[in-house]
Amino acid sequence: MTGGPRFDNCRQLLQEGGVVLYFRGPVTQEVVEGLGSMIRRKVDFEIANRTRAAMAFAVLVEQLQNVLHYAADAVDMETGRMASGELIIHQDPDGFCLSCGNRIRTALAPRIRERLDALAGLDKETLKALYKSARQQGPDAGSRGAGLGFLEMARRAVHPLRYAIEPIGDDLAWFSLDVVIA
Amino acid sequence: MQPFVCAPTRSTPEIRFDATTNRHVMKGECYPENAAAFFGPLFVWVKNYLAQKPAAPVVFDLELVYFNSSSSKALLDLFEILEKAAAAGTRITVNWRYDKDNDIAGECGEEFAEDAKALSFKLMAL
Repeated sequence: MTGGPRFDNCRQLLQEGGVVLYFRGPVTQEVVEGLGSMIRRKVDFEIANRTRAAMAFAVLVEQLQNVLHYAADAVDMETGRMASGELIIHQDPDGFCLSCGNRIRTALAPRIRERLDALAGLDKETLKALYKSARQQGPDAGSRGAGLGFLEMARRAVHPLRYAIEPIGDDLAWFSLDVVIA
Repeated sequence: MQPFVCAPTRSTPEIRFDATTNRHVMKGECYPENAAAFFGPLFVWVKNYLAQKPAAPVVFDLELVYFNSSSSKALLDLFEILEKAAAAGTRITVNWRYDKDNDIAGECGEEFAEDAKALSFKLMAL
């Protein structure tokens, strides 16, 4: 078996979990481009629907660019930014789940909770209105982008976003976010 | 004024903004790692160009397959610059060209069109 027998258990678990893709390692802009293009083609091929393919692509890009922007170990190099993250795309009864995780500084946790909790249970029209007003207002000081990523993903998701923040030590936590798309 | 030209990459669009023809084209993917850095020089060019008050009709042909959330903010900023110039008398049209089979692309265009006032914002399904 690939990688020798010591990975067999792991492989079996991934298969049982309906995993389409498992990625763990350094994320760069090139990784975002490559995996983005992969999921767009995969969805386009399997369900031949360009809107669905665009949704999967959009969620994957926002997820991985959040890793790039906010992971605790992100570094800026001359060739671009790099940060460690994990992405699991697996089949879900309602479509695909794009689950993404990375280490964050504990100090970032309240801000993430506040933003994600504010979106829980909102309908699509409310999310659209919030997106437009947040876009108009512009990002706050702690944001490295436009501060719209979670809103964008919530708009594309079929279920409310699910997240977890688990402490790793005093200063670090593991942040994971599940986004289910049709 | 020299045209503003960018060759496309996998995550940034082809751009050709031309002050001689007053036709400005942006086409392709748009999800740079740092949208503010990518759009900064473009904004400078557009502001300088509009400051010359072009007399002929100005046309922006935008055909973006996908743009990420930070580029969405940058596009809004671009439209606000155009809106201001249009309100001051420059005739400006934005042609938002999108894939008719991609509902998200159309929806994104509508969301920009809703806010256009002096600017003529046209949705063109391809």
